[in-house]
Amino acid sequence: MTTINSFNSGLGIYSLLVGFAYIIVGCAQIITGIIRIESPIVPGDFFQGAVLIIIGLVFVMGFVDMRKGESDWVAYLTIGSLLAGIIFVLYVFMILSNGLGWALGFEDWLEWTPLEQFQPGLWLFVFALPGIYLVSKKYRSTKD
Amino acid sequence: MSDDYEIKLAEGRYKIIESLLEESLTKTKTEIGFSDMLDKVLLNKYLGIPIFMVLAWALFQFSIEASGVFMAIIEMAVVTLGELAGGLFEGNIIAQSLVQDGIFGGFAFILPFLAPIFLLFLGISLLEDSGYFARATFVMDRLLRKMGVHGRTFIPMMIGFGCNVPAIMACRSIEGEKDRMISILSNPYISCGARLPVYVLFAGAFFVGMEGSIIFSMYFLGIAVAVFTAWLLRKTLFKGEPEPFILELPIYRMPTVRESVLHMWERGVVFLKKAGTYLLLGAILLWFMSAFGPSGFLGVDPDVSMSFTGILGNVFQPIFAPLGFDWRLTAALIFAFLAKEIAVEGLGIILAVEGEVAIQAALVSLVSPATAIAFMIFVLLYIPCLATVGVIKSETNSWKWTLFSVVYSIVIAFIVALLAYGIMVFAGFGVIGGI
Repeated sequence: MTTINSFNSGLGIYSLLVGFAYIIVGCAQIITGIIRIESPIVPGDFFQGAVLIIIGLVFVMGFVDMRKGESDWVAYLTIGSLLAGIIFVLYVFMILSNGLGWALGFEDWLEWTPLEQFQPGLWLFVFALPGIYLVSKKYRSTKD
Repeated sequence: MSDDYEIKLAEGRYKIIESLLEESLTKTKTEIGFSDMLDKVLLNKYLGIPIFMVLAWALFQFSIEASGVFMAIIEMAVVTLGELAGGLFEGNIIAQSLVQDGIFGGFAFILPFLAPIFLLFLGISLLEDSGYFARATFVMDRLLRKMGVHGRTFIPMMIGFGCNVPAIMACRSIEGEKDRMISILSNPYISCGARLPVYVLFAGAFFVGMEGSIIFSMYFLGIAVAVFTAWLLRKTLFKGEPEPFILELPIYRMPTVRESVLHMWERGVVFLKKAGTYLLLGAILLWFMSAFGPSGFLGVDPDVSMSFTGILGNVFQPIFAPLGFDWRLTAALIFAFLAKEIAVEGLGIILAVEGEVAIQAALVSLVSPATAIAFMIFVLLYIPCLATVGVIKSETNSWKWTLFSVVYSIVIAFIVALLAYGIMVFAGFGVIGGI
């Protein structure tokens, strides 16, 4: 029982940290977009920033729910991971599509490099990825 | 009274179902089912709408950003075919111009947009097949109801992302005459697939790197104006409370590739049929009006300002001058009343260039980002097409409401476009060239 509780707390803190990472980077994207700073890691874009903030809030809400003692708080972590995954897949599609244009030698893609698509939604998913494994582990432990 | 009876009947049914489940169902140890777990977050009072916005944004990013290369492939194929076909009429300047510039030139402007349209419909099909769209309706119902709008209005709105004609016909399912009329008259502001080529063209020319977000904001603006219109109609012409709305949520399921591709095809083929009929006729009409003037055939690479199109554009241009539109944009808008995609064909013929990239380069040298935004907004909000006007007439069975819809849409398009133009100019985007 103690093991499950500590596992829950650990998962909740993880959810909080991932949520903050998304929110901070999202805010940074909005700010760099407004004041027009060139940043290869966090390129300015209001909408992308807002999307990351919303995903971050979903993760954070999971932690808040866990602290309240809600048994189904992990739903937030699951949906947060799912949304992060959708955004990640979106950027992978964009890389594949533009990569095809580059491989075919089309004029507009001659100077294209995968770095152009190195958006926060892509690299932030690395932090969200363990969540999917941990959620499935939690489900397995609940079943057992 | 009848509505109270229906609600009480539905509540009674669910009470019986619940009591039967309590007696017969043994709950397992699992605390929460997968579907319920997803609903806890996706239908959340505060997060439901923002999550819907995230998914909608991802949908438009997917359809716009991933389609560029496929657009280039289609365009290359059509231009090559046009050159081959034009070669068959060598010696006959008018016939060669009609085939190469009019027919294939028109197709070269329109057919590449099959790529983003089909990808958009694929994304919509995936969301629909997963069971999420019903949740989106449920989530939006809270917001709509606060504004006095029937929740079911959101279903035709969703269909409207594909085409406004079946969307307006879908309003038949709404009970209550007032709710149905509100849904019909607010639906044309939902951005259909036909507007997408215009957004892709202008956003790609003026807002490089932000195309997806700009197009997403157009769709969002469309929803906002539709909801505002519905609210305004409820407060003025169709006073009263919306009818009760009961919606059964399907269970979530993993969409299959076969089904989603099939649904994408069903929606996308409408655009393909349009390209072969309306848009082909529009292209020929545009070619004729741009290649001929009061003095007759203007020759190969004509001065379009001397053509019938030029005359038409110049006559109406003073009306659109406050939005920064010149006679070229004005003429494209007039032709786009037949179908919105014709604005793209029209601009290609009027600017006498071939292909999307060439139109974009020509536009950037002619107008400012502020005018580009005003043009996109005007295209978004003024009456979608001739077919939509026809279906409004048949569904309302009234010329009065049809005329009201046309006039109201033009007025609101002008006001919103003017506001956006003013804000953009104030923010420093009133200078010719891209951002």
